[in-house]
Amino acid sequence: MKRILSLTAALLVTLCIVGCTNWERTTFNTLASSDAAINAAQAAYEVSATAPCPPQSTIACLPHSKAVYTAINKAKAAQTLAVNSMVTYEEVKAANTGTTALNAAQADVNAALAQLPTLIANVKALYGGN
Amino acid sequence: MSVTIQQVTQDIQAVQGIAGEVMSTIEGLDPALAAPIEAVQAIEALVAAALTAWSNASGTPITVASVQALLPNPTPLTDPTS
Repeated sequence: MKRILSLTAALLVTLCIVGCTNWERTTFNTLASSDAAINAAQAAYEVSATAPCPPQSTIACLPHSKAVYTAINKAKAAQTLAVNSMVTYEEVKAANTGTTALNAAQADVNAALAQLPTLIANVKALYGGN
Repeated sequence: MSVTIQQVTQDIQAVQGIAGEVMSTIEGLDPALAAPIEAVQAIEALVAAALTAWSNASGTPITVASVQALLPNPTPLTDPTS
């Protein structure tokens, strides 16, 4: 019985059902939204890989230009950095090595996340110039 | 070094500020107002994708695996033509 309770408790913590903080949830949801936006932009860029974006197109299409390429790649790099920082945070949390390590990991996530708004704004601005 | 309530609050406020900025950037309509119809439709699709992702994420357990799933599409972009 004790073992079952221990396993259940471990599972709940692992799945972040009871141990998930507001900070983690907001960070996770933010990364999910930015990931969706970046992937949509990449898909729209690849639409014009073989032919220019047609005028009056009803599908999302971004020009196959160096500027679009650079903006999306910068956003992908920032997303990768932020996600990897969050992965490290989750690993430190699971290892339960203390608040100092967890604080450092959290600070790393916040620093990586801070770059995202500007880069997402740059990606979104590409659509306005389409 | 222990975590203070003030520090936790500051961290939460910081990340909520970033989240708000990302979402308002995605949702903001200013560039769309000056854009042609097809651009507005594309932006609406972008906003819808981001909002759906936020909503779906709210019901997703936060684990190493679920966070790793948020890495961007690993396929490199094809080279630009101009």
